[in-house]
Amino acid sequence: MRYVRFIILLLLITSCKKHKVEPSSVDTSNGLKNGMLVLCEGLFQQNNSTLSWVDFNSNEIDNNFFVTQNNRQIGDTGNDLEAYGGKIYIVVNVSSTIEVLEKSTGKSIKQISMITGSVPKQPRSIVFNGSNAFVTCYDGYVDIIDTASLTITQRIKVGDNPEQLAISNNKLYVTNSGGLNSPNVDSTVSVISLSSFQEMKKITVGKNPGAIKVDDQGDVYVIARGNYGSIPSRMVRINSQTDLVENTFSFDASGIEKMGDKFLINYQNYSNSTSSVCLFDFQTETVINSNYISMSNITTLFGIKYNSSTNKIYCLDAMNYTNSGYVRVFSSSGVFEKSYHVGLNPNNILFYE
Amino acid sequence: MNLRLFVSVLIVLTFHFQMIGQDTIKPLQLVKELSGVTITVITPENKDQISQRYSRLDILKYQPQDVGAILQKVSGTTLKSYGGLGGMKTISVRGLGGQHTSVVLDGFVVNNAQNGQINLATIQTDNIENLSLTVGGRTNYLLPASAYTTGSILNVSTFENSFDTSVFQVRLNSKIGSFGELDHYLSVKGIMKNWMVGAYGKYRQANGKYPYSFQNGNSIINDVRSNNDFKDWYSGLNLAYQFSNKTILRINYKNFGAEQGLPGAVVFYNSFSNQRLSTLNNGLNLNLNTEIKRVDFRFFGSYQNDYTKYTDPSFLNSIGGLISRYSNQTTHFGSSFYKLIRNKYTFFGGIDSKYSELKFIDESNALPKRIHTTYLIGSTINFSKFKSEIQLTGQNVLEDNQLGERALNQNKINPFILLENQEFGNWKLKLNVWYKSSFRMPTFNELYYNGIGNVKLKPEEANQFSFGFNFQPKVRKANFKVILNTYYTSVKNQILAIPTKNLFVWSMQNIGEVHTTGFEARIDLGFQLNEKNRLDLNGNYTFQQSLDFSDITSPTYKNQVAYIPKHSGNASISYNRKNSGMVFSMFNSSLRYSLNENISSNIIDGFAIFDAGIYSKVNLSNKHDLRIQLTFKNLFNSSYAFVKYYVMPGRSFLISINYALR
Repeated sequence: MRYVRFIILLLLITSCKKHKVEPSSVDTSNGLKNGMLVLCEGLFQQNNSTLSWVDFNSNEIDNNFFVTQNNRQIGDTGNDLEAYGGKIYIVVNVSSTIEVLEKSTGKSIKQISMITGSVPKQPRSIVFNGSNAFVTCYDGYVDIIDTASLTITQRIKVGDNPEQLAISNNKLYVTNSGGLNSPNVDSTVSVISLSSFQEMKKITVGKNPGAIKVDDQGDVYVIARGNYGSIPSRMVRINSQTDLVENTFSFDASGIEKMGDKFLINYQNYSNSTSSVCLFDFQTETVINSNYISMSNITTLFGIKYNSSTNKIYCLDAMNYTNSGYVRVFSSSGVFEKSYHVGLNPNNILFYE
Repeated sequence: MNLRLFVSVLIVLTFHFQMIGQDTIKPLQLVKELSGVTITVITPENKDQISQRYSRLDILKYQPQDVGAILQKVSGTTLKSYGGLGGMKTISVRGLGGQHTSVVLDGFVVNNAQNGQINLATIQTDNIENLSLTVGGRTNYLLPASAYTTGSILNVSTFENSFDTSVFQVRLNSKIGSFGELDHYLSVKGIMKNWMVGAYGKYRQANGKYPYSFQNGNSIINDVRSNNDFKDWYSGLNLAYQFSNKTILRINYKNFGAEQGLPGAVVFYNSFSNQRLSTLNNGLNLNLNTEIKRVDFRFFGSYQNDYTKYTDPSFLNSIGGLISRYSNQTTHFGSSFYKLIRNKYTFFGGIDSKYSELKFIDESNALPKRIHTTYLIGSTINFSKFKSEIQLTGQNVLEDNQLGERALNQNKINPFILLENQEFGNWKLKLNVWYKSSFRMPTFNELYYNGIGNVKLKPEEANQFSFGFNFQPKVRKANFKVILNTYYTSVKNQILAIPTKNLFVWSMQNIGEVHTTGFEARIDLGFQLNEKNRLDLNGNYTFQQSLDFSDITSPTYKNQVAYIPKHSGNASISYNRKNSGMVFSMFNSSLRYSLNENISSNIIDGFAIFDAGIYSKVNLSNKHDLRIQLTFKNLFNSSYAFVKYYVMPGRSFLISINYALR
């Protein structure tokens, strides 16, 4: 019957096809060099975190680099991307994994599951010291991973929902956001001894601590993000000798990036959707230019990175968070040069010489 | 408010669960005599060609688990389903959002101010006698005025509420199916003198452990859905008293409860899930139909309490888990009238007020209250060659929030106008053209939900233009009906969630504008081959180009909006021989995008699913019917999803036994 034939035809046309991921057009067979890996976190519960490889010579982009190299995806909400000892570590928050890749190829060495018992620990960011990696976990711990065996060796209790970490003066500083207790957020930084792996003290820095960075003198700068309303965001400086807060700077801030002997401090104002980048001299502790980069080429400033080998500034543009983002390249003096179209919500970059 | 809770709120609570309603009355237009007592019969539905309707026989044939599964078969709709049995289902009709459809159960509007729309998975099908979806204005004339204020009306009437000539009736349904599904329904109703009494109850459960497969990069992963168990129950009592031919008073009580796991989206490398949802709803309805000076009147009142409790024991806050409870109360009362003059003119109208209050039990950020008053005036005129209908709805919304800022009050009037010809020619050709404007209020969740809500929200404005025609070609021994519609709809000030504090803190904004151009075709062809054999073929096809017109500078400008397929369709073939038969049906959807940006990484594959059933009826006696059906759903075990990473069940079976004492 014609009707049955029609049904069979429709069946053939519409049966679920497996998407074959297209092979990359970018040649990385001789190892990754002169380019950058961009981590795009994607959106919650959409498993669309991606890694883009941008080749600086050819300007070619592979926005599906992780799948190209590993035949599988990163998973849900990649939050941090760092390199250490010939390896790349990607901290994947909602999937609760740490992807360890070979730095020269991007091929997977190990996927470390960050699920304890059956509860996902929701890892956020990673730093390294000696043979250890330190990972903040949203369940209130810093996990220590041995970088040789790639196994978790110890957990250190810190505050609620720890975000970022930095190392100075043989101590680990961890910002405790307490973001999941909102509006009763945390306001402390945990100080952990790198000899005993014990929390030594908690320093109160202001509501909702997030970004943290160390300057050339060993001072620790922390951004307390406030409540996005009546309590403004503020950057504070901790003296790592005394572990006391010595300065609170009276400007808004979201993130800190080091550029030579200066800081680039970015700020995203969510109430009016404007952003700015400030150039800050950490030696004199003064603002040199509060609008160092013109924001006319950026829709939503989601992060900022400086690459010393190209001497350029890379701004991460998240667009409206639901459209794929861009890396906007500026000269070190803040002049716009070009854009690279990458994945959804780019948040971190790893540069290759 | 973090993103995890936000997603749960959007997906679960915003569209949270409504009561299954068995309720009252339809216009008293048809009366019958039986042993001296005049008994109300629910009026036949308006047989216009704009509505698409399903009857109990269709439901028995296709064995849909809920109203969502029926609406998937209706042209012009887009279903969003978040899983199998118990998983949330919502529909969008002609490119408008789910809140633009009024859901009317036995004459009462059940959308509440908390969510604005209904989880269609909670309206089960056991007791449905008739279901119709009407776009534009017209439907049954004694519905509450507030039913007419939306872009479309889903009208459901149930067995419990249709009192006919039988003195005593019983219905008993039992089902057993894959993934631990077990399902029992019993309903009894009777007539004694001027009294009518009905009682009913239902229990349903499933473990929801269905296998699925999905693609991760270039590999296929197979797994089993977890934390997807589900059970729900409802019961009710109906009582009616007939004072006279035209005057009948009804009262009924109903409740609904559900306990379920919320499995969430499939997250790669992390299958952990332990969020739960409990629902408990209670409602009381009162209805009086009467005639005053030869005008049909209806007076009604209802009270409804919807309680929901959401728990996330693994939420990483300092108290070690999250409990969010909500209690929404709605008191609704009003009246409507209908007058037919010389079979040529009708006048109808009504006024009703809905008082709503939502308590966020575990948060103290808001205590919203709303008085929403709707008035309607309408008329139809039948000329010899054509017919016209005009309606005006007015709405007044008074908003209050004792704990903070409140939303803006509203006062608006919206028209509906329709023109159609009387059938002409051998093929009974009929053309219709209509226009409707409507709006929907922001829901309490959209306005006041802690951290997400935005009290500055304006209502979403919708406009619809539609042109259609239908005809009945002459084919020997067959009933043949063809319906073709084209339409254009627009939604302005569309309410969407966007990040406003950081990527983890989203809130609601009026930022969307969507223009939809659509076309739908429906063909029904029935062959009475001979006295014993009948063959039915039905098909429909929907084309929807729903484009994002929100922002001309956005990369998604004029892209197809998320989750609306360009092409979708249904086909079914059924064959009946005496008391047995079989049915084969399919549903087909083209690819969709998970976000408005039309790029390959946002693609959700198109799919086709096939169902097949075989049934037999046993006539035990004149009064007893027994019907047994075996149904296979997703016969070819297709792996598919309506919503990205909310995987749907593969092949499953269902054995249904329906007993009826007539």
